[in-house]
Amino acid sequence: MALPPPSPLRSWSATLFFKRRGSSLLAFGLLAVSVSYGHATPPSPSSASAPLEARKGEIEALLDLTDDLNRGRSSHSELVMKVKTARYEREMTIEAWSEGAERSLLRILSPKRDAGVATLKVGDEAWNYLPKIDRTLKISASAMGGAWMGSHLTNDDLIKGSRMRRDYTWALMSRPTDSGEGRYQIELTPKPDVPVVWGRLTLYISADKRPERVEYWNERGRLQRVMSFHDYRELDGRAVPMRMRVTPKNKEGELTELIYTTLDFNVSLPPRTFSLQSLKR
Amino acid sequence: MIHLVAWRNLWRRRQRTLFTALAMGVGVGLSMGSMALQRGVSLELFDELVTDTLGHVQLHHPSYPSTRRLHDTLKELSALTAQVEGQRGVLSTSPRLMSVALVGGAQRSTGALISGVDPVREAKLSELDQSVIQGAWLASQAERQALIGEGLAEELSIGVGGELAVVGQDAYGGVAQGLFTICGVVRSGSVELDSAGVWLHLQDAQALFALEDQGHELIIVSGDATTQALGEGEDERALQELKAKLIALPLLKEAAPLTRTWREAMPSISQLMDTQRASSYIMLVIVLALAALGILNTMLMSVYERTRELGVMLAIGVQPRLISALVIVEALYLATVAALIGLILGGTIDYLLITYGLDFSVNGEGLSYGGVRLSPRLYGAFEWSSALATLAGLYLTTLLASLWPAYRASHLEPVEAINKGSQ
Repeated sequence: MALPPPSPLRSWSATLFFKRRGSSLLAFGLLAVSVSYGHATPPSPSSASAPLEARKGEIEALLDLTDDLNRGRSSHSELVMKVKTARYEREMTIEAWSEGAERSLLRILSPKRDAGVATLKVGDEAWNYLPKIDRTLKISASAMGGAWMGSHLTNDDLIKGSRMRRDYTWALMSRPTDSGEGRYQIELTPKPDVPVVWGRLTLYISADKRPERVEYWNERGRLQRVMSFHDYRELDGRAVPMRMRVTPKNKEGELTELIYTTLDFNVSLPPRTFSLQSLKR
Repeated sequence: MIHLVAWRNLWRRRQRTLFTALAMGVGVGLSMGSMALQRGVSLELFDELVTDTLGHVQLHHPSYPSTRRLHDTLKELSALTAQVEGQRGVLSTSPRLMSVALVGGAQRSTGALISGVDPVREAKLSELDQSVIQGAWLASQAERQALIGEGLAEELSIGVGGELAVVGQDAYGGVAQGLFTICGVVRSGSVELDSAGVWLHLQDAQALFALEDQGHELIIVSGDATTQALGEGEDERALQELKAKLIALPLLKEAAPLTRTWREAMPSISQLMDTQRASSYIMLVIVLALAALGILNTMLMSVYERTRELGVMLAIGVQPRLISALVIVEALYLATVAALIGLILGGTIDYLLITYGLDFSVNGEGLSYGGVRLSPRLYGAFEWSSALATLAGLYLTTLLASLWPAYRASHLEPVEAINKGSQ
């Protein structure tokens, strides 16, 4: 059975179809080994208490720290994604590679029915490879809002990789005392022209500068979801969370967890790791 | 005696009688023809929609019809199907899985409606297997085959033997992906399915969407003759009985799926058919009202002309009741002549409609009605009940229309009538 030659098909115009269905088909993205913050927005409500004075450099360093939490110059990792919804619980194992913020590749290892499905991100573009039909599909703009593999992460979360420092204005709401009590609380409001869906983010960072959680609020000031970081471990001279959890606030009891089983930074990756050819392997 | 007199009276004005009878007969004949055509269209709609698609009774997950969510399925589908099939009165069943997905050939891709069907059961239940215009129906074993609609095949420039890639979302929100070999191209008669339909083996579809032993609907066709008759009430009653029996089955009791007759599932189609039926009866009523005017006019004229004669009859002691009866019997004979003309004409029209049909094609395509493409040539269907209703209606209106002339005739004042008549 000769298959048609697979190519990064523009003709596979998934866009129309997604629009028609309004669903999150192929909602698939890059499990870039980082936390990223997404999407489009009106201005956020101002918060009640007044911001504290803060040094610009100090806060911006915290934002970069959070953005680059699981990202090195390069990385190679294996992780388990656990998804719990009202209907089912399932687990997936994933192998991932990344280089800076711009390139990443991930491939599903199990379960069997999804094994070999791979996603490549280079810059602003992303492709999925589906082994059973031997085709590579570009992820269209309209598919970005969809859930990734039935999880509570969206394609946007995984692909876009907006930067807090670049895309948001911040205000420090509280900080730890000199004796190490309390934590940093930073409010982030998207800058006017940045396409993000959230109205506001609230970032909590411990006194020893470990990000604890990020709250995502919509433009009407309602909490939408929480991403939290757990199981910190010293790796490559810094603290890295080995477990991340996303909890949607409108769905009782549902959550998605990402748990690193291995994580190596600054590995040497063969050339062309992030190419359409390597997607298929 | 009275019959002979009435019959002879009727033909004293041969031309008038003949024209009245002819007008009534043509009306009756035409309304018989239009009823036959309406019946034919209804039956075709019924065949396409009810027998092939909706079934007489259908089972769904309670929220599936409104949400159409992939995971709102009937569980333990094979056991459920077996139990339903074991029920007396069930002729055939078809379990189906339905979803949407992106499908593509080598060049292009587009959205499609995916149906997973059991090839053997579906072929027995519907005529889909006979709608294959190229290639063959799905093999009875799951062999990763796909049937596709004619329009879709054209859109994807793909044909029998070609590879069809299907990409969608599975029940867990993951990727449903599969490669299928096209075994046939279908012209089903449904506008929607011909332009976007893809049929897979049920087991292939279950594997594709991660819905093992599940499906979205179980279609049931009853073997009971009354349910196929498409009557007005009796078929629904028979179906309700079947439905009650099905609901009592152990697996249905346990899973409590939504169980509906086709009228409950598609009230709009049910209403459409009822409206069609009603409209042809309204037409009949109009025809009969015109016939009644014809009778009234003819009989009043006839009584008026015979005023003197009737006066004489009354004067020599003929009972007024007999006079009335005479007029009424005359009218009924007139109706009989009209009925004969009508039956001959209507029978001929019916015969032609049933045998040759009527070409309704627009640019070679059949009309589309409620999303169902009717065949370009529509055929009539004869129904005893409508023919009898027409005749009964004719006699009844005749009887009513002759009452007034009969009353006039029997209440003449003999002396006056004789004098008036002699003027």
